[in-house]
Amino acid sequence: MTSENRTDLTHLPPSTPDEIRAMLRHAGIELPEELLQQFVAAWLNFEAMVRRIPRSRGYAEEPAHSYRPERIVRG
Amino acid sequence: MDVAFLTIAELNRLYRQRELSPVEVTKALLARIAAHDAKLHSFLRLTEGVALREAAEAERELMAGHWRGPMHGIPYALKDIVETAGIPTTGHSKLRQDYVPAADAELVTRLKAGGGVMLGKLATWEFALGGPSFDLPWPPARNPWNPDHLPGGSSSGAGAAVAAGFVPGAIGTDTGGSIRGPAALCGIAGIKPTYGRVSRRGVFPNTFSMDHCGPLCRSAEDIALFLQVIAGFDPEDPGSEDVPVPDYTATLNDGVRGLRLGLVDDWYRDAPHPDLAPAIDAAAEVLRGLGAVVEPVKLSSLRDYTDCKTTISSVELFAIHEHDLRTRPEDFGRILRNRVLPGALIRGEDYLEALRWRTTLAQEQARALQHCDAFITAAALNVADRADPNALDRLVSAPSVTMPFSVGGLPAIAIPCGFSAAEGLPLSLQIAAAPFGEATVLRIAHAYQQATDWHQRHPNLA
Repeated sequence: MTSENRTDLTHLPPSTPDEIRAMLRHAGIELPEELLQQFVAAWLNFEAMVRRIPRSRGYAEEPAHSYRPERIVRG
Repeated sequence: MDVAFLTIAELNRLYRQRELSPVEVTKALLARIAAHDAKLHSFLRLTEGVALREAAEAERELMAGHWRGPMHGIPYALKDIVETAGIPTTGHSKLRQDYVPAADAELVTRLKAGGGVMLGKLATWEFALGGPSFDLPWPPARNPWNPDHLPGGSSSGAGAAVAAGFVPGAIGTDTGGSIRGPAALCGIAGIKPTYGRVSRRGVFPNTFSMDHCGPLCRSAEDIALFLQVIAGFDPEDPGSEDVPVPDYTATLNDGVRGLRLGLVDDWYRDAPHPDLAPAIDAAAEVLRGLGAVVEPVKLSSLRDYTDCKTTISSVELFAIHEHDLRTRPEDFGRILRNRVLPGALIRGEDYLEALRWRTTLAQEQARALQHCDAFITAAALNVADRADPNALDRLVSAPSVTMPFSVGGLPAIAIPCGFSAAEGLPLSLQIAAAPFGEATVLRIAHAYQQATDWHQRHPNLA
């Protein structure tokens, strides 16, 4: 997929440290302050990565890992 | 006879001719490890008693003319996320420092049935992801070519131990390149088989949808022999595929004449190390000289493949480690914690979009493989890093040249193709083929190794 027809979220601004702290709180994660500061620094690379994922796929474009009942449900 | 760098193929021949015995080899390798591993830290735990017992048993059987297969009497070692009944399996982590599994991983069961001799458990990045880390109960493994450098990861101990002549083969695991990376940086061979080819049952998960187990050895021929014993369907592993296992040595000597090889040169042309692109181009020339048709092929960027793979992994990793992260986050190494926590903030729709992207990227590889028999490219974009506890974490920021074939689930091997001029460290070629095309990958790698001698060079530990 070329950059011309990609639909992604790279236009969004990076989260601020306060926003990252709030997201962690909402996720129920509590960290000591030192570990929290380490994570705030680490998260921005991950956030940028997730925002580069192309969106707006056709309905027929299914995820790579699909459920295969014969492998899970055995008699 | 110095047994340190004998291959699995050579050991088999010497056992058959009764010129060498499994007990002699096992004792010699244990002595070599005792003499040199203090500076490499490749083993977390030696299982000397198990090894000597299994070697004696193999020796009795071989002397009686009973041959169990190509790993009979052959010493090997296991990355310490592979479970071993009654023997601690730590994941190189404080979190599982005292964990003793009740049962063997399926691949260990197969190696035992095949008469292998287990020398011990090997260093890894924490739970096959967090590393290189200097804040764990054990130090990180070092590179035998220069102990000031690292062996790559996450199968760091496997790469170091095989390259150092401690063991002719080892089991590693590969989610985004953790077999191929250490193989590349340590100058040995390592294969990530097709997803579903080798059972993952009893191996601590990293990313359910992308975890693979496979061997690291010093030649493609040895990879074929080792893989033969561990490959095959496991009905208890939901990712395992019921596809017949061919004889990997049957086509090993068929050469490459007439094979069409797609050279993915965009991925390494601007690699950070100046010696890499010329080395890969030279390897392509060797294959051309052997009769292969080598033509450039275009695939999506490494950035795309790395983003897709890492997004999927982040979410699955968090699900695996969530309980410990909520209850004892300080017991994680810093790198693992900061690589796993992001999964808590990645939304369900992001994960699903990455899985849909994976389908698109895998289909792109499938289309390209309609026009060629295999891909060739680099297996690492630089030489081994210096050991630096303060180095920045580049998991997301630096695109990976191994992740594309993790996304595709394709069989891919790393083999040495040169050494850097400035540092004298290994450079490596990667070969990948269609799903369950391990025999094709091994045939190409073996042909290359018959025409070159990079794989016969070994580090001097003295």
